[in-house]
Amino acid sequence: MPLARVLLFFCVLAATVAPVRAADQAGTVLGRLATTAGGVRSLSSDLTQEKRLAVFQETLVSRGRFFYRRPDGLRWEIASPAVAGFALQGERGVRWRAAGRPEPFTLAADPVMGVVARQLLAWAGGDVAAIARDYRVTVLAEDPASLRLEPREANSSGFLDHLEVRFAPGGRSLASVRLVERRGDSTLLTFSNTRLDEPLADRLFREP
Amino acid sequence: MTGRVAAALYLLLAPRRRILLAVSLAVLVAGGVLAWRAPLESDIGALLPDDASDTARDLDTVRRSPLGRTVALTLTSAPGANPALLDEAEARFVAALDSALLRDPRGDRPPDPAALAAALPDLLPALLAPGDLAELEERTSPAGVRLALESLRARLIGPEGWGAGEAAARDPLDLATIVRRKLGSLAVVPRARLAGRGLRTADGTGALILADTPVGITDADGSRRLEAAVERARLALPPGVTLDWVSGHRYTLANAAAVTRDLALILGLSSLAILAIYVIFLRSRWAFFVFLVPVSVMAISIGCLGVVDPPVFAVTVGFAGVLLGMADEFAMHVFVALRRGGAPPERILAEVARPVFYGGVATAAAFGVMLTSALPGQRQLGALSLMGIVLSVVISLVVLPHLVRPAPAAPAAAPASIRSPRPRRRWPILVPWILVLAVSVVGVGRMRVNGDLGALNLVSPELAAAEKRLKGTWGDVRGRAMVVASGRTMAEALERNEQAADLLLLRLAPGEVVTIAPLLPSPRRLEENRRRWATFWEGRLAGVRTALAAEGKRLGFAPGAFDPFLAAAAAPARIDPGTVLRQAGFGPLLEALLGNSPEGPELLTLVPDTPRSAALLGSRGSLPGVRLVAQSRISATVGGAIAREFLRYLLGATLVIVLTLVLAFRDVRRVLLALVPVATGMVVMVGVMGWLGLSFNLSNIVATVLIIGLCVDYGIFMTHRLEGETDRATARAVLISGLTTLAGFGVLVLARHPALHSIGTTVLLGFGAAIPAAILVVPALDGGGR
Repeated sequence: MPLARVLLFFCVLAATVAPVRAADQAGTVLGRLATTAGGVRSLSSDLTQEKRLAVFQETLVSRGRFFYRRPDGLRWEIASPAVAGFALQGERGVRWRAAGRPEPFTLAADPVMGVVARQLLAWAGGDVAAIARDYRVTVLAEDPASLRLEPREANSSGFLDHLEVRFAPGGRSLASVRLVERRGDSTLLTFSNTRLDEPLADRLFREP
Repeated sequence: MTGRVAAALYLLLAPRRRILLAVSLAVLVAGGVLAWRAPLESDIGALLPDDASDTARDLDTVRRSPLGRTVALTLTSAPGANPALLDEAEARFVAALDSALLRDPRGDRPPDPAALAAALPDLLPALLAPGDLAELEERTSPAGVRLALESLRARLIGPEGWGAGEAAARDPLDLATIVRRKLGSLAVVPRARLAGRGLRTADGTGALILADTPVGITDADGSRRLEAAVERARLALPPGVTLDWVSGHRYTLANAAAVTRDLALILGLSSLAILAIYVIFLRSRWAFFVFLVPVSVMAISIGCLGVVDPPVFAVTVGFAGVLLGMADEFAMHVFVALRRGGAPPERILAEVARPVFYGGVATAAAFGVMLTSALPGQRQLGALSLMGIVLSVVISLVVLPHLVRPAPAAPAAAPASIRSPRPRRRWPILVPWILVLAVSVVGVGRMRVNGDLGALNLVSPELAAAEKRLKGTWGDVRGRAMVVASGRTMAEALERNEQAADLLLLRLAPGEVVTIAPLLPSPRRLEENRRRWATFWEGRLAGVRTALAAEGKRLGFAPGAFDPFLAAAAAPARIDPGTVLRQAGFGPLLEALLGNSPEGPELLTLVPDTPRSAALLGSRGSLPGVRLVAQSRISATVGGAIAREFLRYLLGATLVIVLTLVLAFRDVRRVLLALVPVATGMVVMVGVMGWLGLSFNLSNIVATVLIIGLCVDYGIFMTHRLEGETDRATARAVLISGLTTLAGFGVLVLARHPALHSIGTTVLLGFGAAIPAAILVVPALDGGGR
């Protein structure tokens, strides 16, 4: 019947156009983020971490601080309920816990830290090229930007299923990052009280 | 009778001179063509023993071992450079390698620490040794469970907790630490850590590739191709990354290049020196034919060798070149006798044939002893020398007389510089001779034997620096001793490897022993380990379950969170540790310690090359199927072998020479006189070496054979001529042939290569004493005996 054929035509058209439109949309959002987040020289935030792991009875909530300085300075620290964190400058960093001595590491030698650090650096710094290279991007919302990222290959040492990244209004800083692992465990990082472009001491990114 | 045969042959061939010369030329050309086409083998393994001795077996093990063939390539980036640059450099370099010559054993699967970490808990039941039980008990105690869960919780909160949920459920007590510690026994490279694509320095600026190659470390041609392949791959490196490499092949190349340069220099110098000697002392254009004799001998001998005993070792050809100075001796005596004249040529030949013949027999017999050598290169040199001596005697007695125009009837006046062989006053000659012998005898007692084959190796400053850099960067990768456990089957080899490893790990410091025993147990030990695991958990599983539940609840873990761990404890998967390690990309590290011999599989354990390691393993046979292969021990055994070989040559050559002399002279006094030059040469050689602190090594055995084999001829010639009238020509011939031998071999003292230099020094000392003893002492002693 002609009408059925017309309807079928538009369904097929929609099915082929939709991915193209999705790619266009992702490109637009990423392009805007490159301008907004890409212009930030430094930021510091309060950090809340919520871990939903199968081994835990309930969600484990931790609180701390997060620092970023362009191009490759990162500090992530938890103060409660336990002390833990890491500081990174370039490819080399140091991590610590309440018990034991601080432990230096390199991103090349620690695949998990490599994934985490590279993602945080990419999002905090608006490095959309790196994001587009390593992940398939799906736009969940345009403003404020909210993206779903799925690894293109096993560059996440196999544990990561996808990331959900949400930006604050204006797109200059992160609001939250959610890591979802293949077995269902997830970690939600929420950033609040963010301050942008303030001078940050060098030792923040080198020492515990 | 010898003389009559020689004379008869001369008369028979005189009217058929043209045919004789045509045939000789044809044989020479044929020999030259065969020599040119002779298959050459450049493998200097010809200089290593190949008999059934322990030394030969140990050297063969080193040559065959994976580590023995490994090429250590170090890539270095500037301090502070991005580690990704080194990863990129390594990938590019490996891709540019000629896979037929060099292969990165990791292939496309670099080591995957994450995959290995995930598999560690599953490996523990298969690898649980008795020494691990104490730690296992501690970790599974109530206090241990509490500490472990508190640490786990803190870890899961921290950044390393991302992706660690599954590992937490499978190994909450971190029992994998027990297995992780065993991985340390695989530290083939002491200062390397696993990062990026593979082995890195602690600061991340150095990457090490241990490449496999099918090229034997003694194969000079193959080593040349290998070097070219490395240099081609070097071009693929990005800017800012440098390459350094070390392997046994570089030593082979350095030595081959040095020997080639030395021999080119020596052949040139010795040829010039020999020519000068001919011009000064012979002063006759007919002397050209004397020079032609050794050239012909060399060409025909090498050609025959290429047909009878291929391939011809390059070292044999190298020494054949310097044999030019030796093979003219018999021709020289015939020439000098003919040019002296005073009788028909056939009569002259009849007189000179006997000493030439017996001289040839004695020399051939002395070189023939080399046929029993344990070194294939020396055996071939012995065969070549034998052929050369026989050819030299035949050509000198049969062909040369028809090429040289005899002198007129009146004998030519001898140069004033050559004195009568029978001096008027004996004691001015004999007293110094006795003194020199006495002092030399004392020096003989000071002689040391050096079995270190490395002392015969040329190590260029560049190579020494590369070795130093390798050791400074990665630790002692190449200088350790190997404990070789062998068996008819892999199971047997694994068991013997375990026995050796158990002993060594107990007595040596951690990190000193590199072994796969803790990670690759024999089938029997694998079952023992599994039974040990099962027995351990039989009485403890319930208690651990209770402790995990209680502590877990206190710390917020979910009920049943650790059920995967408890299930695996009760019923572990029966996995093969070797398969798991290979799948995680650690195959190359395992293969570096696995070898194969014609008798069966071999497993290698690396230990420091010290007397302590040797003492732990005791003498051969104390641990069945296990032996220590160490450079220090090889040096000692080779040293002993050299001493025995030298004595064997000395005794064997002396015996055949004495028999020959008895046959020739049938008179005790004349036999003793004929032995004076060789005895003098030997005693002075060894004595002066002792006084100068020069040690006796493998090269000196070759020189010893030369001295014995050639100096006896001087004694034979001088003693033979003393029977009749004074014969200045004989002394002259002895002097000239001695000088040409010195020119041929003595110039080796100018060689850079330690082995060639050693031979040159020995020959200079030996011949330098034997020639005056022949020319002066033999007549002086004879004058006193009459």
